[in-house]
Amino acid sequence: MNLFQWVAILFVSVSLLVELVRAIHSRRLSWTKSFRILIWLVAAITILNPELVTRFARTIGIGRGADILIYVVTLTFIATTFYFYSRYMRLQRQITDLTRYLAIHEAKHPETSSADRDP
Amino acid sequence: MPSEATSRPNIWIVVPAYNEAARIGRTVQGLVNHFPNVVVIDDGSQDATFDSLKHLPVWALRHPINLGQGAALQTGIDFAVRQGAEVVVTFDADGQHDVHDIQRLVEPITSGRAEVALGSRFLGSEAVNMPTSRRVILKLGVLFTRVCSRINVTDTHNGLRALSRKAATKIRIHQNRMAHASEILDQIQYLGLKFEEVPVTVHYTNAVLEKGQQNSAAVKVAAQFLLGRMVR
Repeated sequence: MNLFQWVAILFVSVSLLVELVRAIHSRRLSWTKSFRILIWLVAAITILNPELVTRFARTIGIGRGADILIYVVTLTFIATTFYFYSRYMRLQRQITDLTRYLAIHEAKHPETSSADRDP
Repeated sequence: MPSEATSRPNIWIVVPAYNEAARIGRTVQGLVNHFPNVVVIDDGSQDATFDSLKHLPVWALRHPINLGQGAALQTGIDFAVRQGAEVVVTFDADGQHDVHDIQRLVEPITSGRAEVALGSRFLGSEAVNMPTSRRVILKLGVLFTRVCSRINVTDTHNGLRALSRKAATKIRIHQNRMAHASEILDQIQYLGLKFEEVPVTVHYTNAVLEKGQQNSAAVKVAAQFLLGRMVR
């Protein structure tokens, strides 16, 4: 194994260990936790045996292992961007609703409310 | 005092305002002389916009933070509907609209011909001192709206419009910022609301052009509208 593989496998192993400890501690394995554990396991296997990625890429007709990684990273980036944009929009709507509620409930009219007497 | 002729039916004028301390008094004074129900929404202004409303006979609402003109309009529309408005008119705070257009604008609604009346500066020679670049951008906006929302209008970003109570309740503005104008048209088409365009005057003074939307913002507005449609 080269230096990069040592560093990467150390990082992945620690992350996998943290996920496993958390899963055992909570005594409940959700779909998201299972997915994260699967990602770390696949990462560990491909770091230890990079030839596997190339073989898989050839099997599905892509050719190089590096290309399959580029595709996966690109698709993940796009999906993540949309996910966070959608979360941002939802948060913005919640802030808007709250602001609107305050504005309507604190509406002032000089003839019917105490706007002039406000500090 | 508001005249009897113009105070019926229950018409509410919604005026969104952001940093308009210098002009809001004059705009609102012109409105209250004709209409008793005026609601101004200060959209988190940093100047004295809200304070300058204190002695005017209008409802003053304040957003604690700046959200955008679309959000301010929806706040004003919600408030007007709660107060029993039968017709809601949206009116820009910067003085570019003519208060005398309102009576003609609400006529299609009060007569029952339409649920929404849209002001248009392109039906006749109703745009005073409009720069050519602005005219081109607005025409491109019309084309964009016809393609995206499939609604046949001559002016897409005119702040002077009137909604029946039914339309004001059904239309929900989610685009907080300037893309709300396209969103309203999109919803009119989607909800199948009957609409009419009414010729109105828009005055382009130096102050209006300085503070108003820059031509370069058109692309941003279009992108916001399309993204808003994709991610709901």
